[in-house]
Amino acid sequence: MLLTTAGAIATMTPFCKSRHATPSALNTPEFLAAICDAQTIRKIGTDYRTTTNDESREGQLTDLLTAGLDQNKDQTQQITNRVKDDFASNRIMTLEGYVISVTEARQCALFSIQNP
Amino acid sequence: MHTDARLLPDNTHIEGDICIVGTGPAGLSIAMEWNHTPYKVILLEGGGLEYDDQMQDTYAGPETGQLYYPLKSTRLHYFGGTSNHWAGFCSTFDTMDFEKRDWVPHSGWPIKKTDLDPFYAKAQQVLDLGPYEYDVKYWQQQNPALKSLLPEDDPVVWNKVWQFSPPTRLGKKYGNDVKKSKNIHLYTYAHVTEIAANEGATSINNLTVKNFAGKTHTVKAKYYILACNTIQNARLLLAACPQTPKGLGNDNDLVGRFFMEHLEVQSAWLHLPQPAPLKLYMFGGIGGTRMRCELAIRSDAQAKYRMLNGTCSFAPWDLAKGMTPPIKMWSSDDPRKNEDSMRSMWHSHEGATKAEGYRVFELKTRIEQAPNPDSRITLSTDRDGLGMRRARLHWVLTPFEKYSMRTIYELIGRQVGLTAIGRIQLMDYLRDPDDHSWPDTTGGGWHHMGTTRMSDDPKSGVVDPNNKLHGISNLYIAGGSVFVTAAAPNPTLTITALSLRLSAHLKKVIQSGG
Repeated sequence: MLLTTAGAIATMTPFCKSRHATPSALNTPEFLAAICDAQTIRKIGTDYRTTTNDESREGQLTDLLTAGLDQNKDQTQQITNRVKDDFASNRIMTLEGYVISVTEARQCALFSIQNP
Repeated sequence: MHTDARLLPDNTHIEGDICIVGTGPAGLSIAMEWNHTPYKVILLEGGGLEYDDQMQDTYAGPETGQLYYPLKSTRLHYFGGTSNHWAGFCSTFDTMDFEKRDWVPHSGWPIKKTDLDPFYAKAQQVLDLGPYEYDVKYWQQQNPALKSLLPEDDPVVWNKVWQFSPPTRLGKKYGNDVKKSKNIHLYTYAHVTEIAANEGATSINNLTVKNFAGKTHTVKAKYYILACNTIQNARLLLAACPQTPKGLGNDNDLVGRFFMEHLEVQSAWLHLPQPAPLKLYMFGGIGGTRMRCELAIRSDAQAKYRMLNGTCSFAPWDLAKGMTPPIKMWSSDDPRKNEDSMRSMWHSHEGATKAEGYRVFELKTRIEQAPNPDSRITLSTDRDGLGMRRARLHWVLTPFEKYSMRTIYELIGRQVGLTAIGRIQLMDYLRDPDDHSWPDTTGGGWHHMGTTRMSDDPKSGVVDPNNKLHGISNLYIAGGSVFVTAAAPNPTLTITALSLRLSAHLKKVIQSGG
């Protein structure tokens, strides 16, 4: 169990070097992408969609992620701030063992739909 | 002076002012406090000056409950006691550890941290540690490269300092002093098998000691201190006094109960976007003192989340992966084989740490076990080679420990996320809050505590705040067995501090003619 996860850590390809479709601020959890590979982010996203049935579709997730965003400002920065707010207000989840923000979980979920 | 009790004529009568049973950190630190005094101190060691497997076997015993190390090999039965294979980890208990916590049943000591502080300072010297400084700022002033992972004012997580003894082998450190002493009389191969009380069992008349040479002797003193290990202290009280079939000091069925360990388990990973050395959390040295920090949870956060006290240590994943959990490695009855295996594994995984650091660290928990009367030492029907009933361990963990362990990483995970330092990933066994099982990697720290716990009230404890057995006028207990709660730190520093405190109390008693 432990060694399986260990192997995954040792052999992972950084997210930024993997090939995936339509990278965007919405489907790219910026911080997680620096520490996880695409497969892990896909697993986190799938796990999130499984545990939250009402957020399992692409449109729902896009709406949730864009709600309240100022279209005239940098989306990535706004989402980064939202992630920080999530941690500050305890909107966090544990998925695939990662303690992450709800916004990050939604980004992963969107990624997993768009990059099955 | 030193006498091998095997060489004495059978039925020798030994007499002194104080009799200390046991020569580990508790017994020896007390004995040395009485060196060069007018009082005759009888210091009894069941084993010899070196390891002796026949004596070690008296520590063997059956186990039930949570998987544990073989009882025979978790402690050492010769001069210097378990300090002979101690790793040297030291830190103080927190103020909160002594307090009553309404969410931790049976918590609350009858003494405070401030009562122990002067003795902690003195214990630092006994164990060859550095200055009595456990504030991280002190060490960061000595070495500014010791950067905190989280901001120093983080409201949830703080840096708890550990210092490392060389480690001091107390038998080697004090052996010559004891042998040269005019008033400390060390008897080796003097294994206590019987405690004779007066009629009514309100005071101790004498002890019987035996050895495998077939010799039996009696020891009489004004005051007696049982300074064996936690299991042996309870075993002696339960088994050794013929006048009290339920056990000496056991009117309230407390002796042997509340056996505690520290859970020491690999629990999570810290992932960083860039490599970092995290020097503050690695083994390092400053001015001759080895120290490092572990992450701990602040007391108000512990209260808020109603959790136990625990800490988290770091190991670069590159070096830690492939390490066998101690519970799988420490499996022999022979403590020497286990120690060799452990050292060999550590050595094979040691390496020069990379200056730029690492991106992934394995996080290991060290957490107190909640006081639990069902986790206990009782007597087996089997007897050891000297005719004494063996100790039986029934080690019991509860979902409370696992909840607390998980909460530690959720809280650290939240704080490292909030500060955009990294992300925490829990290991598989911690992910499901409804899973109360323990992985087969679960082990303890070889830290035995709690079987003769301290309390003002005989109905809730075996010894009083001065370590005197309730209801017995001249018998004291020293060692981890008197702990009420286990806190997070390795126990040797606190055992030594409590022993020095007991010694100071007894000096007052004797000097006042008590």
